[in-house]
Amino acid sequence: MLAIFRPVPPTLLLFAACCLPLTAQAQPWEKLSPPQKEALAPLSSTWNSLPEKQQTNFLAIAKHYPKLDAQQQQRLHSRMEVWSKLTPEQRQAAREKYKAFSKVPHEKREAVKKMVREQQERSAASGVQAADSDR
Amino acid sequence: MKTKINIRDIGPLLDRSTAQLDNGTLDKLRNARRTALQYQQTKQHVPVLAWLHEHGLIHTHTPGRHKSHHWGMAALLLVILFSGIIYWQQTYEHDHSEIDIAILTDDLPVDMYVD
Repeated sequence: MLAIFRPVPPTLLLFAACCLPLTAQAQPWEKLSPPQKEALAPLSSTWNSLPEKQQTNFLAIAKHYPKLDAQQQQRLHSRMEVWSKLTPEQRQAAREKYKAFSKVPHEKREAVKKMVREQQERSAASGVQAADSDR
Repeated sequence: MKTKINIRDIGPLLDRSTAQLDNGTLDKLRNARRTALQYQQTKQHVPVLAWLHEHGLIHTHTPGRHKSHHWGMAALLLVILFSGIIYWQQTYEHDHSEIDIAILTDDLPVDMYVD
């Protein structure tokens, strides 16, 4: 049976080897490159305990980091830890929601964003008031 | 002096000149024709293999080896195809990085999209 493969030349075997999956592999924090460490800084203490698949996902995110503006980089860093603590199902559901929300007409989307911002401001203000009354 | 030859006359002229050839030359011509036809048939049946052969990626020496060679090639092509599918799945199907970035840098907080 193995004799069948004897005539196959090495050039083709090399070509086949080149076709094998070549994706970013998960690795310990110490082995990450400085740009990767900078992009994934909020996860430095938890990185080694993250599942391998999640590490691969975050490494893919890290590739986009240098292209983001300062505000986006700051937002990414502030949300990274929360994102890492979600279950895979929660993350998938969030992606689906985001996709669905992206299809909503621009005006409606802006209205929702405005509403959420107002709500956040109200809750922040009530938080400050509660803290003041505690004193 | 120029002699005009009609296209219809070319066939009979060639036949006549072929009849003047000696048997050894005729045999050689017959063999060359047979080899050319066999090569053309192989090329039509396995165009991929013919392409690989033309580009020096495979070498066919003896006719006895053809069958096993073709099986080996078919198996190898399957492996390449399979690897390609896995590569595509890992690289694109499971790569959520773009949408993840969009969520993590959006105006709205992550809680908006999480139950």
